[in-house]
Amino acid sequence: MLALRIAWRSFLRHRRRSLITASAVSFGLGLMLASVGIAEDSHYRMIDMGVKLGSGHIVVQGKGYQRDQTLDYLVTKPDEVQKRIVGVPGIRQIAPRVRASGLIRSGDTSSAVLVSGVDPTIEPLVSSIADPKKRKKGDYIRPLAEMPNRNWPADIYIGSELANTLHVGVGDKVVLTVSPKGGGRPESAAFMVRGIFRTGSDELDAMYVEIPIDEAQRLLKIGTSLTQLAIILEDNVTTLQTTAEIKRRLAGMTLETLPWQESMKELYDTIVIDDGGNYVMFAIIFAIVAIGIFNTMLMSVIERTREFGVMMAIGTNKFLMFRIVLAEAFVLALFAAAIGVTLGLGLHYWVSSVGIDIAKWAGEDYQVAGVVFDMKIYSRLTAYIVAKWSVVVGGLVLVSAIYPAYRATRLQPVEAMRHV
Amino acid sequence: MSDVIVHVKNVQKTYKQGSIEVHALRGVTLELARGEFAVLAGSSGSGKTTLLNLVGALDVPTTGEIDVEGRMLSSMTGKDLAELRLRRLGFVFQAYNLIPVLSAYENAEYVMLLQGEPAEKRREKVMKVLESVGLKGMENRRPTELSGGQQQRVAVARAIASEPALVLADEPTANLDSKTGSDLVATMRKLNEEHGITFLISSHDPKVIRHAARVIRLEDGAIVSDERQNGKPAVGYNPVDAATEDSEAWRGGNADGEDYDGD
Ligand SMILES: Nc1ncnc2c1ncn2[C@@H]1O[C@H](COP(=O)(O)OP(=O)(O)O)[C@@H](O)[C@H]1O
Ligand SMILES: [Mg+2]
Repeated sequence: MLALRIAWRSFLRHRRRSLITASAVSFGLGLMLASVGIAEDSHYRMIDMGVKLGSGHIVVQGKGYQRDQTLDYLVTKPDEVQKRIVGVPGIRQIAPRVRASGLIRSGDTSSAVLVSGVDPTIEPLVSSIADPKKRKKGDYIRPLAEMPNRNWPADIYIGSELANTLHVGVGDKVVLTVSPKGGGRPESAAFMVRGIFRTGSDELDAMYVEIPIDEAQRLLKIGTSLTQLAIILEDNVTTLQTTAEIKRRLAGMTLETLPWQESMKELYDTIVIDDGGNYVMFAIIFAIVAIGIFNTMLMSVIERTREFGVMMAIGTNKFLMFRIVLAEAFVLALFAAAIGVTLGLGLHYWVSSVGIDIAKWAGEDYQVAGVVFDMKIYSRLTAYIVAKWSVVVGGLVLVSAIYPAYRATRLQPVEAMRHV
Repeated sequence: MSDVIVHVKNVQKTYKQGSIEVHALRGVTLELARGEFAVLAGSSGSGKTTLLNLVGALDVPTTGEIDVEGRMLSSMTGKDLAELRLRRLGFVFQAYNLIPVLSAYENAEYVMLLQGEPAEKRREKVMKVLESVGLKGMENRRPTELSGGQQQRVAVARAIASEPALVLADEPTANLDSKTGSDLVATMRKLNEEHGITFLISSHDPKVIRHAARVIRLEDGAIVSDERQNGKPAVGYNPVDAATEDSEAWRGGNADGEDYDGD
C-alpha cells in the first residue's frame, strides 16, 4: 500500500514523463489489439469460407481417404456413425457427401469435374456454394424424392465458368460420366442444370458440380456408403476438442476423423504464416515498450538517487525500495493498458463498422489456398483476446522495470546522498 | 540502560580517490551520554559528515570501533544495522530530506509505518510531533508547499516520531537563513530538554553552536576541543532527571505494533 501510494504520487508528479511513456505503451497495445482484431477476423473468414466450401470443421471419412482420395476408402456405415456422434456438444450440422471425379459433357464440349453428391436439404444450411448469395441463376438442386416426375433427369448445380465452357444455362441438359467402384464400365447419366453458382474461386467455378447424393451413390455403385461426413460446428474454437470426442466415439470403426487444420492443411498453413507475420510486428512493439519503460524507470531511479538515499538511510529496506519502483511501473502499466484498450477497441469498432477493402491490394478475387475470400475484412475481438494482450503488455512493463528496481536496491545511502 | 549511548573508539576513516588517500578522520575517540545535546563543530571538510555517517551505521570506519547503545557496529549484520537505523536512530540531513511526493503528515509518519506501528498510534504521534515542531495545521502540505525551514522541521518531526535513542543531524540549518536556523535549533533543544532525546548535530553555524550544551570541535579529521558551555545543566550527564519521566508520559502508547508488511 505504501509502495503503491508513493508510486501513484510519483506518477502524478512526473505527469509529462508518465504520459509520454504511457502513451507509447498504449499506442503499442492499441495497435496490437487492432491488428489482432483484423487478423482474427480475416482468419475467421478464411476458416468460415474454407469450412463452408470444403469439408466442414471436422470430416469423418474412410481410413486412408485423406492420402488416397478414391472409392477404396469409404464410410460404409454412415447410419452407425450418425448414431454414435449424435449429441456430441458443439455440432451444428452433419452433411453426408459422396465425392468422385467425373467428366461432364454438353454437345461436343466436355470438361473434367469434381462431382459432389450432397443431401439437398442439408447442404444449404452448411455450404456457401448452396447459399443463395452465391447463386447466379436458377435454384438449388432438389432431392430425387421431390422431383415432380420420376422420369426427369436429376438436378445438377454447376459453376459459372463451367456453364460458359459448356455453353449451357439453367434448364439445359448435360451428361455426367463417372467411374464406379470396382473399376467396371463408366456410368453415365443425364442431368438438368438447375442452378449456376459463382464463388469467385476459379477452381470451384470451373470444376465443381453438385448432384443429389442418392444419384451419386447409384452411379458410383456404392450403395449407401459415403466418401465423407462433413461436420459443421457452432463455433470453431471447439474444433480440436470436438474432434477428440468424435474420435473417441468412433473408436473401432475403420474411419479417420480430421479437424480442418488437417483436412485443409494449406489453409491452416496460411493462417499460421499470417500469425507469424503478426508476431514479428508484436515483437517489435514489445521491444519498443520494453525499451521505453526500461529507460523511463531507470531515469526515474537515477533522478531520485538522493531521495532514495535518504529513504534508505532512514530505514527503508531494499525490498520496499524494489516494490516502490515496480509499483510505479505497475501504475504506468495500468494506466497504459486502460488507454491502450480504449484505443484498440476504438480502432476495432471503427474497422468493424467500415471494414477494410482488401480488393485494392489483392486484385479482383482474393483466394487463399483455393478458398475465396470476402473482399472486405472487419475486426473480431473477444474479451479473452483483449485481456490476454493487455496482461502480456502489462507484464512486459513490469518485467522491464525489474532492472531499474534492482538498481534502486543497490544504492548506497552515503553515496546516494552525495548525489544532488 | 547504559549512560553511554555512543562510544567512538580511535576511529580512522580514509577515502581512496584513485591513488590519493584522503584521511577524513584521523583517530577520533568520543563518548556521548544519553540525553546530551552535542554539536559537532568544524569547518567544511573537517570530517563532520564522515563521523555522523559512521555513528549512523551508514558507513564503516577504516580502523577503530564504534558502539551504539552498547552494541559493536562492526559485529552486526547489514540487516541488524538497518534495524538499528530504523528503530534506534533518527536522521536529519542538510537538505532534501523529505519524500517529495508525500505530505508533511505522511513524511512524519513514514518511519513509523516502516516500524509497523499501529494506525491509531501513528496518527496520535504524528499530530503531536508536528505540533511540537510548530507545524500544526500544515499536515497536508507537500514539501514544495513548505519553506526550507518548515521542511527541516518536518524532517525533525520524522526523526523524533519514531522514538529513537539518538538523533543525528548533519548541518540541518546550512540551507536556512539565520533566523529560521536558530528557531530550528531552539526547537531541537526544547525536544532534548523536555523529552530527553539525545542529539548529535554537526554544524559550523555559530547560532547552532550557541544552543549546544556540549561542543566538540573537529579540525582536519581530529577532535581539537570538547567542552560544555552556557552554564546550562548538561542534561545528558544526569540521565535520571525529570525530563526522562516526562518523556515516558509524552511517548504514551505501546511500542509493539504488528509487523509492517509494506502494503
Ligand atoms: N566519499 C568520499 N570520497 C573521497 N573523499 C571524501 C568522501 N567523503 C568525504 N571525503 C573527504 O573527506 C574529508 C571530510 O569530509 P566530510 O566528512 O564531508 O567533511 P565535513 O562534513 O566536515 O564538511 C573532506 O576532505 C572530503 O573531501
Ligand atoms: Mg558535511
